[in-house]
Amino acid sequence: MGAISKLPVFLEKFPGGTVATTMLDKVLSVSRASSLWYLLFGTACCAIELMCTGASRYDFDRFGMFFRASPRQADLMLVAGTITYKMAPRVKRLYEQMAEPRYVIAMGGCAVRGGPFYYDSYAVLKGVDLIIPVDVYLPGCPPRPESLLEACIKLQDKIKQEKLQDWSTDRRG
Amino acid sequence: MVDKERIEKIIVDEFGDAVTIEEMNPPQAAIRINSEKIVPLFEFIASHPDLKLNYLSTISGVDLGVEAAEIEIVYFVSSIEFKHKLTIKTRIARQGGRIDTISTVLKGANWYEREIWELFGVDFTGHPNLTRFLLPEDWDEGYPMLRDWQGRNFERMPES
Repeated sequence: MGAISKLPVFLEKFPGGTVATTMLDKVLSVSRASSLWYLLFGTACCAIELMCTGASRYDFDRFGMFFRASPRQADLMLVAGTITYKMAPRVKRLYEQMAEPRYVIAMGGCAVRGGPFYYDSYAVLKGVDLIIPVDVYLPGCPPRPESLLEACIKLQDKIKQEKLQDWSTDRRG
Repeated sequence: MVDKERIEKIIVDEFGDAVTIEEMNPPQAAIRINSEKIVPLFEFIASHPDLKLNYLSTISGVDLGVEAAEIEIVYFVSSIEFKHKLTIKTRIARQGGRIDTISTVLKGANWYEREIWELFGVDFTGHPNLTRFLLPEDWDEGYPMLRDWQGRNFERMPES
């Protein structure tokens, strides 16, 4: 049996055999959830926490999270920081360049709802959800690495519940 | 290093009535000048052998409000050789204000003047490239650093 016996519990093992059956939905969703490569998108101080989370002390990599510098290779956009009106079209374009399935975490008060720049600012977008769909909102100014890990685990839980047909049509418009 | 009084005296001797000395806290060399004399002033202080104020740190714009109807432009210059610095203030009209560019004397002024043009609506006469700089490319809401500005998505902090 070897490696197969170490696979998650939802696999049904045939007694004495080397074949395992499961549902395609579960294999795909667990695979997706376990290798969320995120697009580097640090526009403000939240990026410092994001870097810290990626470094050895908190070690994002153990959840299968690894940064990519290209939207074509990324599954997750971690919007870490303030988005200005000048930046907003670029955010939208990068999101559109990501291959489906794609997910977004709005990290920090600025990405959630404009943060400290909600009032008295002519330049700051009041929430990244005004331009792209957001899966997980993570408040904080900036959130600690533990919060970011929590947000990613929440997103993984969400992805694990997905069905294949969810992605068969572009449900996100 | 040339002290505060000496810097101010050299400039007042050259420009006379167009210049007044500004008090600042903590004390530092500062003058106020008629906005029409700004280019001769910069040519003078950049080349004078005892001043050599040839490094522009930054330029600020200050909207003094609707009643005052003036915008203050503040230049911060320093000398790399003598390590002294000077603050130069000047005022222009709030609506349709114009002032000569100093980017012909100090090239570093180019971007600062573009920024002030974009945010305050000050026209820098003779500027080589007065185009959209920091705001979004399709910006059409006027000059956002003016105190009475109102934008589509702009909210003021409520009084508490």
